[in-house]
Amino acid sequence: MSVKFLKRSGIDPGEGVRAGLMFSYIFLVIASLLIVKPVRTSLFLTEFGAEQLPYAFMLVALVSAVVARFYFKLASRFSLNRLISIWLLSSAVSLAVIWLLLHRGYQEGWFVYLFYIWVAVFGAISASQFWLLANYVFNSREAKRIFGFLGAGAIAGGIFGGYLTNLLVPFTGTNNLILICSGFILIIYSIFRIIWRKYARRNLQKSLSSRRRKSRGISTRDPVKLVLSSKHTTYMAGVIGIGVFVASLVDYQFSAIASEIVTDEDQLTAFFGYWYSNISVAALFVQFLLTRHILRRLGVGASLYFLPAGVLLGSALVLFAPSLGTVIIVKFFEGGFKQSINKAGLELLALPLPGEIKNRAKTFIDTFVPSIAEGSGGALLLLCTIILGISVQHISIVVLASLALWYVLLRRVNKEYVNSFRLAIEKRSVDLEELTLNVNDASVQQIFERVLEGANPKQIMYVLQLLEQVKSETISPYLEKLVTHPSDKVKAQVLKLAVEVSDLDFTEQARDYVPSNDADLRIAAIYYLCRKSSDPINKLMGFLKDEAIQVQAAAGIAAAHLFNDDAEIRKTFNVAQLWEETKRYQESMELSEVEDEFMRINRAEMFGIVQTDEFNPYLLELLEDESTKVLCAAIHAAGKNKAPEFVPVLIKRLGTKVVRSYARIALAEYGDEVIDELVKRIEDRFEEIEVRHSSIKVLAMIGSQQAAKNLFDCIDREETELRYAVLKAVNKIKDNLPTLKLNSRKINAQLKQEIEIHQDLLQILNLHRAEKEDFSDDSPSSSKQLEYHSAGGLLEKTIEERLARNMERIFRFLGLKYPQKDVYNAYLGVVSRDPVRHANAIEFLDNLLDFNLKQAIIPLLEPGTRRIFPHRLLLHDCHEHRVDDYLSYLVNGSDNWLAACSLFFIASSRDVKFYPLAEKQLTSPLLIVRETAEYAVKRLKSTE
Amino acid sequence: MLTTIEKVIILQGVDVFEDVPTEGLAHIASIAEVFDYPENTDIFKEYGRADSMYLVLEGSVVLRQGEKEVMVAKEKEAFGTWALFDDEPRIVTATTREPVKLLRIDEEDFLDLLADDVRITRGVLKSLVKRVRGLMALAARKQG
Repeated sequence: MSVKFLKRSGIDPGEGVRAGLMFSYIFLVIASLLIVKPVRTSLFLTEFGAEQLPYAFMLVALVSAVVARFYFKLASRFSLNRLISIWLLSSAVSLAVIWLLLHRGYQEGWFVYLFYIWVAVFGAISASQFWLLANYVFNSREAKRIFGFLGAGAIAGGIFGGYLTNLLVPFTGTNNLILICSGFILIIYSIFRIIWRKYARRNLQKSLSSRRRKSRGISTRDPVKLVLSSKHTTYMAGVIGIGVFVASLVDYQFSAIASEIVTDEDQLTAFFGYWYSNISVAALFVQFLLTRHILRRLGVGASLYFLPAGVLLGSALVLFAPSLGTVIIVKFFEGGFKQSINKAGLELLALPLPGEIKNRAKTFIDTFVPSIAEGSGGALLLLCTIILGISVQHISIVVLASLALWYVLLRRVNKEYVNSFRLAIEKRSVDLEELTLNVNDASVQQIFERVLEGANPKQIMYVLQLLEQVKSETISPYLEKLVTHPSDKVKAQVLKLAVEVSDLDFTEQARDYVPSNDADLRIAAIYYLCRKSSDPINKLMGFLKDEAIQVQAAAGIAAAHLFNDDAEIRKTFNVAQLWEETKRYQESMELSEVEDEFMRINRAEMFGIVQTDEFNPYLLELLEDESTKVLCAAIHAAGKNKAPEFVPVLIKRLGTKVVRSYARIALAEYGDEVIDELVKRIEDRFEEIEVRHSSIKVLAMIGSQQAAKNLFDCIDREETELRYAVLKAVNKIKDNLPTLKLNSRKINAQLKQEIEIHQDLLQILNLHRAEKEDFSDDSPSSSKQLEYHSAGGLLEKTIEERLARNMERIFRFLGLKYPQKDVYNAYLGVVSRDPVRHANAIEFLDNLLDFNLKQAIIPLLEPGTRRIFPHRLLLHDCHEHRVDDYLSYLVNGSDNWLAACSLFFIASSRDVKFYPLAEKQLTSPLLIVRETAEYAVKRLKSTE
Repeated sequence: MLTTIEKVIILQGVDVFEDVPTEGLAHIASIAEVFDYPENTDIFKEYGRADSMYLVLEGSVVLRQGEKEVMVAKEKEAFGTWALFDDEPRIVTATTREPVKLLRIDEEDFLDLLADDVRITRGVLKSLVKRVRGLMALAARKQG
């Protein structure tokens, strides 16, 4: 029974505890809310009457907007764990304090207002925290199945809370309910701790990095501009806003009429508790009985008309026959449709928007727009009731007028929805991972039909992939039409989908497709036939021992998928034994070299799909294969498998040029687990340079805080190229992870070092240029002069290049300290040849940088600067020795190429005073330095 | 025997390398080999396989299309450059006019270098883009 219930609720075996804990969490959050909500409303109405409700609405809107903004900021600084813990504990304490004050008879006006606002903020933040947590507890596939169950938990919590209030008030009185609520929140906290420890923590990092990758480029965009940038999101915001606006008017009418009739505070609390629960029951009823049906028959567009139509009917009744009965009817329509059919319709409206735009725009719309709308509702009520003296009954006229605007907005948003959907399918931009598609939606169906009957196989494939998420009988008509489609890819996708549809039988077609030339179709056909067979293992063995190796190979992949997808098969299916048997059979066949390679690739692919430790020894063998193609497939499989024993081999493969990029991707799949191993390689001077550089790239691909921290610890290495690669990698991580935290003292130290190098190089360049000019003044035009100038030119160009790279490094470090995008734009301005852009960039940096940095960096950026930095290395006041000074500095420095260019310049000068300097480098371990020193010594000797 | 830096000085004059950093040129210099050819020798023939570029260190080389003389490559001038970038056959025959010393860069070694050093690749691409832009501007001027 319970298994059946779980299955019907979309919960797979093994997910019960997790889903149960999350269900309890939201159940108690909404129950608590539905306990304190009637308490605060009755307290407010008894204290101030309905006339002051508009002020409360406006204050709630204002405070919610401020709190939401503040909360967003906190959310970017603190971990979700800390945020939820602090919020729940402080809420429980706040409620206890409120109870204590009310218990002691403290009912000052400001305090009642504060309580009213507190309840609104508590509701908004607690629910939002829950859904955020749910995103870490469940992956996207689980979420699609389980979120409906959690939604039901919220509605059930609403019903429970309301009825409990109604039931308990006669015994406890209104105020004591607050203490019960505080107790509920402490239970929620305990549940949260278990959820966090057992499920959420481990998923958080992974989920964050994947979101970071997806959010690149959009996350920094102003959300208001983002919403206004498309008609679709603008009208969506409008529809949500007008809904909240009208709800505030209806709520006012409901509260005002109720408080006129029910005057006792406890009775009023019980009244609200009772009716809020009834409304929740109505919402549940509509949700389960009507929502799916309406969406299927009429589509998203029509589903959104139910709420305004209900409000229209109810408001007309209130207008012509104002009474408690009619106002309850309008509240019933408003509350019942809002939480069910309208909510589902609004969620689906955002579906065709590209993934991250959808997240950002919708988060903004869901948090800010209701506040603004509720505030506007409060302001209008204030105008109507206090200033214009309109009665509660005639507020219905304002409601009816607002419905006209609501209707216009709905027409427009529906048009945009269909347009966006069409565009998303054409561009194939609907995010499959985030899809919560309702294939039953009539308007979606129309678009699908048009695409599936069209001639574009790519679009058909895309729609079929969308439908893969649905796996319902409703897709059968599409599949029947497409199973004989000319495209093999389409046929393969159809067979994949048809496996889950019980009323279809494509056995005959699948049998015909087994010998197909297309590998995907072969695999899909074998998989289909095995899944639909009463004896899948026997069926599979038949294909595994087929004469054609293509069929054997496809059967291997199909076997791997069968093992993964079907729990029943997994129980009875000894995959290792099957593999051994197949291997023996294949070895008995006389395969050509090409066929053998093909089968080895196939095995690697298969091991990548099954991901069981039993295959690890075989996969290790393939990771040493001599064929590049097999190696690539094996590396890919190892990355999917993520077994620790593959790590050393994969790292070794970073040194193999042709498979290096595959090895990087595979290692990055391991995430934080491989960081220590990679750092060891980076730090090992005797490791191949390519392995070291690739290890840096893998850490950048992992992109986590830990990867960045470990990378940054390698930044003070002497090897310039490695240091640059590390810096670049940390920048890349920061780009995707703006909240990245690094040791700021270390950044400052590195910046100081780079600035000093730049100052030195800039002085050397100026001295070198002056030296070159002096030489051309003194000497006649000769081959000696030409030689001197070309060697001097090479040295000058090399110093300029070093300055440019050093400047890039300075900006890269600045990017770790300040907003990276701003710093990058400033860098582009600084290196630009356009003097206006250059000046603007300097001005920008002047405003951005700290005082000390500004003092150090801006002088380096001034055009044609010939500034001397007296605290730096050279003996500037000793003009006679300046050439000796800077050439000696360069030749003895750690930059080998610069040393070689300086030695070449020395050779061209034919000045014997440099002989000792050149001679010293004859023993240099570096070929380029030694070779040029030999050349210089020879030239200087010949001058002697 | 030329040192690496001497080769770099020469490579600086080749237009496709003008945006390659000097250190990158040193890497290119390390794969550039010096060859001596006697007078009246064909270095490569029209329609032959293009697998390397050349730089004249000493002497001069005549480039002919059929019987027609297209150009004479003198000291520090490069020829056969496009062989580094595509596999099209040679469009000219290169013949020495006198005993010459040439610097030769092999296509395969060059491509390996490009694959290993992104800064060389970027420099070469920059030069090529400059050339394409120049040609586009020229075409636009002609059309205008």
